[in-house]
Amino acid sequence: MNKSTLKALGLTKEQGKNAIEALKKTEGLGNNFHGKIMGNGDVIHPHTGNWIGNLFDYLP
Amino acid sequence: MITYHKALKMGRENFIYKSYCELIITSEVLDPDEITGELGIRPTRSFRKGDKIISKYSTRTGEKKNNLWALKTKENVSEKESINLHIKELQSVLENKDDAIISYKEDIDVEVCIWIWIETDNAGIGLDLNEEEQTFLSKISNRIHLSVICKKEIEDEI
Repeated sequence: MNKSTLKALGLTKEQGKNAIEALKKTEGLGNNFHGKIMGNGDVIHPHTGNWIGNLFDYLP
Repeated sequence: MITYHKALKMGRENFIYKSYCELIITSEVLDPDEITGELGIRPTRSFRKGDKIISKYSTRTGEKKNNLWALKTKENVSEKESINLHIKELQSVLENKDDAIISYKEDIDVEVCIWIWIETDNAGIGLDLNEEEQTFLSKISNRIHLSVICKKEIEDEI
């Protein structure tokens, strides 16, 4: 997750890293998964367009 | 080993590390109940392909894309930079289950992952695995994922 995405979501880098790692672990996603992050925290599969989850659900 | 509360009382002179490991088996075809039956171990969490995904923060809903069976070790808060006790716990729990785990690992439709989760208020972490630990992890998994979260503070979550 880059700095501009973190800023748009109002998350610290610690929160952002925690959330994305927790989402990937929960869903059993591979390290090569790079979802598209929307302005409300929704994470979309880059190839299928399927909704994977919302980052705010995974904040510590 | 030190508990978080002890660390607090001690004024937290030292950095602390909260850690656990999760053995995660994912597949589109292998059912979690089948794994539970074969291993004789109840998962700490599981879901099936097609189960609903809901969010408190989004109006959208989704479906799980695969089955998942996971076994999590006991969370540990320590001043030691180590995951060795988690590997020992997995070795103990999975004793005599090698054949089943290896069959999953070798199945092209199944992935066995060891997910190592570490949170610390230190700037980073150094880990060391001996040959026996490396051999064990390699024997039972296709993939090892390490999540290291460096925080200003470690919250009291356990």
